[in-house]
Amino acid sequence: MSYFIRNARRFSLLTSIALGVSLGISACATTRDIDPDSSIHYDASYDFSDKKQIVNHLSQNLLDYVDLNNSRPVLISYGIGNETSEHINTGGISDDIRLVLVQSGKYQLINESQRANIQSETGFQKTGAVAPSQRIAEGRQLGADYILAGTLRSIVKDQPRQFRLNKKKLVHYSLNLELTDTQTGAVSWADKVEIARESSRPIIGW
Amino acid sequence: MSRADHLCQQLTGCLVLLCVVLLSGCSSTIALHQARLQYQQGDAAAAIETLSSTEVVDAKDRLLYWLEKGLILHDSGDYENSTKELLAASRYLTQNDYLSLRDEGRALLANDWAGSYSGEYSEQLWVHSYLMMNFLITSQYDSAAVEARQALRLIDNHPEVLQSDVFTRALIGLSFEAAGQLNDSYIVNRKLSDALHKEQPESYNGIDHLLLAQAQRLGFTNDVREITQRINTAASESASHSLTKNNEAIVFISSGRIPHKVSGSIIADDYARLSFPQYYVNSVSAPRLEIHVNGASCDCHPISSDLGILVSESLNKRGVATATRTLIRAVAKEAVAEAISEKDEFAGGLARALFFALEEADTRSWQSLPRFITMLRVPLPADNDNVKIKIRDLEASQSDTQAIVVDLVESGPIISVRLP
Repeated sequence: MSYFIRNARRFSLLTSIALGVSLGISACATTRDIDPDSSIHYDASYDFSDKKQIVNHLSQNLLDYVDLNNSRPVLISYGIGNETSEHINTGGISDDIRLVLVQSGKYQLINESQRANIQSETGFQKTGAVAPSQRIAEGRQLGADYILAGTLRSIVKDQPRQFRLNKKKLVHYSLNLELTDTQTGAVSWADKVEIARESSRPIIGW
Repeated sequence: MSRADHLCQQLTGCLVLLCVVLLSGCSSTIALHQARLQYQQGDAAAAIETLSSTEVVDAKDRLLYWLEKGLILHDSGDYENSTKELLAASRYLTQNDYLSLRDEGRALLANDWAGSYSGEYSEQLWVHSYLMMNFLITSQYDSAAVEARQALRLIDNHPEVLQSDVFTRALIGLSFEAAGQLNDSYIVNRKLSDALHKEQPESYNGIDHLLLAQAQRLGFTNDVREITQRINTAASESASHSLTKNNEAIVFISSGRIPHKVSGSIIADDYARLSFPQYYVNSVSAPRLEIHVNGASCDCHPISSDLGILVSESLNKRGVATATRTLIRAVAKEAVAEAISEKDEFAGGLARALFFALEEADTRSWQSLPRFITMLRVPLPADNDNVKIKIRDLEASQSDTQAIVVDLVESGPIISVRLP
């Protein structure tokens, strides 16, 4: 017992330091709002900042294209294929591009995802439950002038094995988007966005 | 030194040793062990119930939780939930791809059990294999291709071990093909064709017919000529192998059980033990499959991987690292025991005995895996949608009643079965 008593001061000092360090490490959880236009990347992989950059670039060029032709074409979007090595929801990109085009009023967009529901609603109205004057007139749907489709690709390169403290990774994303004329099958417009990023993470951690 | 001081030092030593014992932990293996047992006894529902939440296992065994649960769900036909579990495993592996000082420290102090389990290279690859199968069965072809790319990177990083997994390589080719990425599929199948030529000549002809059809679609005329010569078959006959998914069924067949890791030991002297994990892989031949489509025998070309051999080779590949850590631990433990002995011989002896008992090889592994996994591309009759496929392992089942019959109308064209 005398051992502990003699070293009481040392023990209490060590205990205080350990407690302080523990409190410091277990700092309080925080949340903060960030500017959606700011570019924040935690690693080299695809994130919302990339999506914003892709959507801004491609939708603006699409709007410029229709201005040149002075028309209001009908578009149907067949989505963006994901040929990367990440599970990226490319539906978010095509939805955002569609939104910009619809809001601009320069394009008419066909909602392909609602076709089955429209069919179902039309069928229901014909059962007799809806007054004939209020029924959907058939044969009035728009035919697409263009198909909007694209592909997101990525090339990933890891730093070769060698003696190092950090592991570097280089990722190159490219998104190709094109408008295909449904009458001729010709590609009427095409554009691409490229994003290249390098990230490094320590090989040793806690 | 007074009697009280002596007692205090002994108490401190005991506390340190107790910490070591606690660090070596074994609590979480109980839930995993129980779930594996239930699954082996045929009660998959009970096994899934046992693994109801990640809380039933320690954080260091979290990967095994996701792996076992993901595979049991896959074999039960719950592909969506299996995908969730296996994606969690895949994320964990990506996020923990570094040398953890905490785990290394724990392993040095106690044994390798004290660290987080990160899987053998082959087990890491099979996470992607099962995800590819799940995505293909649920018609999410783009996602299957994403997994295919991740699997390819892993094979490129550890080619000496993982190149031999011809099943996963064929699956990668199929995933690209299903996603419409024919060029990528062709490259993978071309390399696979060379590998099969050496390893499984009986499957070689099948992949070459597929390769020929792909080369024709891609317009690779030189390759068409070369492959045609190689398989020594008329191009017109080979062209009948259509890539249209309606004309063939894909069948994944799992059989047997993967061997378990066991602990091997070398006793250096009375109080020093070096333990290391190892596999005893029995020599078992791949299942001899008999396939009937609507009663007619199918001349399918199976592509099989022996997971037992692959996992054993994966373990051997990191054998140097394991041996180094075991040696360092043995030296460190001896130094600690020696230091304690200098103060108190009894406590030193106690420490040595405890270290001896604690020196146990890390035998954790993904135990619900099958021993063999096979892929079959089964041509289907063009004029009949009502197709039944009968699968039987001629080695394991004596009678026709033990065969598995799959109705493609209910299951869809891509199916996964586990033979009893």
